[in-house]
Amino acid sequence: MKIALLGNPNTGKSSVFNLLTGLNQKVGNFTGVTVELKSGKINGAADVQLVDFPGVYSLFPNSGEEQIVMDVLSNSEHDAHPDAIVTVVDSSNLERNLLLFDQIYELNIPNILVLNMADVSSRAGLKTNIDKLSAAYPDVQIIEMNARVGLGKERLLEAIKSLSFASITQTVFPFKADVEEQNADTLARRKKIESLVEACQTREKNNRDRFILDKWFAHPVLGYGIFILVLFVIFQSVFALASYPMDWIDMGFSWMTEALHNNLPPGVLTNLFSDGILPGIGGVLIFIPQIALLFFFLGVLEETGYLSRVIFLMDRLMRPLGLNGRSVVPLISSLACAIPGIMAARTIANWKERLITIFVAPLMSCSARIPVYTVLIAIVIPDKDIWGFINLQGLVLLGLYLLGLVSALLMAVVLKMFIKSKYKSFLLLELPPYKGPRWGNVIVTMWAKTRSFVFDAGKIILAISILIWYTASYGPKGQVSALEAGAFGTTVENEGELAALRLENSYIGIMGQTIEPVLRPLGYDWKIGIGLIASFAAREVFVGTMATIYSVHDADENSKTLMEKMRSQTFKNGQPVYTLATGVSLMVFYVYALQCMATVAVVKKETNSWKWPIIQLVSMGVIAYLAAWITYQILA
Amino acid sequence: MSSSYFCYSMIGFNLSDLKVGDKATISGLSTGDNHTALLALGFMRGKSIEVSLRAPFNGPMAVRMGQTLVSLRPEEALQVFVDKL
Repeated sequence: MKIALLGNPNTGKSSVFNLLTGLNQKVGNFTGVTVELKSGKINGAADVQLVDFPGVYSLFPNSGEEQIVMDVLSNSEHDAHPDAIVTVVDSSNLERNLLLFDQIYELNIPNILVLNMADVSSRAGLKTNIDKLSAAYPDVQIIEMNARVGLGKERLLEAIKSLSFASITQTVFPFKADVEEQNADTLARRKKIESLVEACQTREKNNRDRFILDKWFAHPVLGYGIFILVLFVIFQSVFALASYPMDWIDMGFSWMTEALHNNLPPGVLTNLFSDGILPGIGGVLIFIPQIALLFFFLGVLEETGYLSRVIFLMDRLMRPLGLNGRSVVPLISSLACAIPGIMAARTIANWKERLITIFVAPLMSCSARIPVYTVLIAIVIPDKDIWGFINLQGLVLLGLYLLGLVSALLMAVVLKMFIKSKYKSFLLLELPPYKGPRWGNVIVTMWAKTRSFVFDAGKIILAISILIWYTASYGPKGQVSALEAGAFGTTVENEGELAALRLENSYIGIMGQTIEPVLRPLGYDWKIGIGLIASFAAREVFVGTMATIYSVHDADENSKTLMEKMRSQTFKNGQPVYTLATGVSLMVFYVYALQCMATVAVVKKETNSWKWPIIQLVSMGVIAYLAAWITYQILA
Repeated sequence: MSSSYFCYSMIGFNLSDLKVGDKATISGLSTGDNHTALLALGFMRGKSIEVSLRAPFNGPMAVRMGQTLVSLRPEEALQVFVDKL
């Protein structure tokens, strides 16, 4: 049995969903549905599948999300069409909430009405006469709940189990296509609900102002200052806290790779496990700390009601870019990592604005670019102060971040002109009262987002990383062994040189050498070409690949040996490779190029097609090439 | 169009003209892109409202309506006609 969970935004609908399904939830897969519907088995009624629909105000569509709700409900043949509906309303705001329920009531689908947020309405001095409400909607079970603390869960479960599927004989909801008729219908319902609520709800006292914090948080000046402060705290925490588990994952996987090599007989299968699959899994898991932490903080911001204030304050600034206030958080999250940023763009209801946000998010400089920038800056930018107090290296790093930011904004403006949208951009957003976060909801959000990344995008990442491993380890002649090294006219003295030789003679190595003529105008040699191809896995792989090519053992971004090796590289004619022009050109390339298979996988998942990730990959690659070429030509 | 909710008031204001702290009663909604959405959110003739917040640079405004605070852009507010109190 399929039960749809419907309700306005901010009614605690997701609390009800989390309460009933717990961690048994996943992204539902329904044909013809482009927005995400969460779906889960109900704890204690395992044969019931609960589907959480996006929060909507009315069945008459005004956005893509509302269109989907209408499509599903009006078509009984639809894959996601429910057998029954649970409508969640905010009991402290019945008058507005009942409109949707009044429409749903006429759908001829068994229905349960949940009067949620009982605590809020009782604090507001509201008393609801359930009997009178019942009289207006016979055949519907009405349940009072406070889903945030789990109150009323048993009653709702009972109601779901006792749903009657006897034939319903209500008037059928008019799915009118004509806007005039829709408006007349809505107004008639509004009038009816106004008098109904007056009859069945009494207000005793109206005490405290639940919006008092807006004096500061939504203040025209202070509000922005507070927002910057909040961002600062979040980023400090994400970077500080995520680095530990990321190091552990990194070390753990290096250790396992080593252990496999030492304990299994050498061969293709061992290599596949230790160098292909294991690092691939590591490459998925390494993102978990950042994703989980960012969604923890975003969950807190959302739960407390602060997030909608950010949207309110930032909307005006984002609009000339074809974005809206909701794009701010995804874009800022992308400064840590584009993956949670792109996943957070799901809250943008307007498809055009969401697509633009997803498209430009990878241009925000993420943390994986830092190792690449650090190495290159250390090699080609002199460590000196200008005007006595500004460090030139720091200034270049700042410049790279700004280049990414400005490019993202310009790209948004350009995309705004090309992407068409059926629905006009609108804000019409409810600012919910401030309240403390429900930690359960925060944890469930964290869990669901992380899980969906690991299992959905993870598959693609693993596949690409096995492909990269294979092409980096094997060539037309198979894998070069120490004995064969002589045949290439070289003698290898250590493991490092063998690894370098293997990489040179691998498919990627050959590709790097083949594309050298194309990269030459950017100032790169074939070794850099190999680094560029290999680091499609993830940008920071560039540093490790360079270390392998130059047979340096301790491969991290602070490695002195690596930098010395890189500085001493020359072209065949004796000119140094890593000049200022080449270094800056390479950094500019990394500002633009979509060198991250995880991002490609997530964009595929979020847009539900390969069209957008491929357009994004190609266009950002072309821009990267042109920008790097111009940079090199100017500086050389 | 003759429906009662369609009502231009010559002497009235648009919601977008109001300043923070201004109180008003909604006198009508103009037809437009967001008409259905405005109705769904509870904007209708006779409702009392108060402007609580306005974001800078002609950004969105937030309107208090009963127990709720709803934010809308100035061009969306243009569609709401009010009688200032």
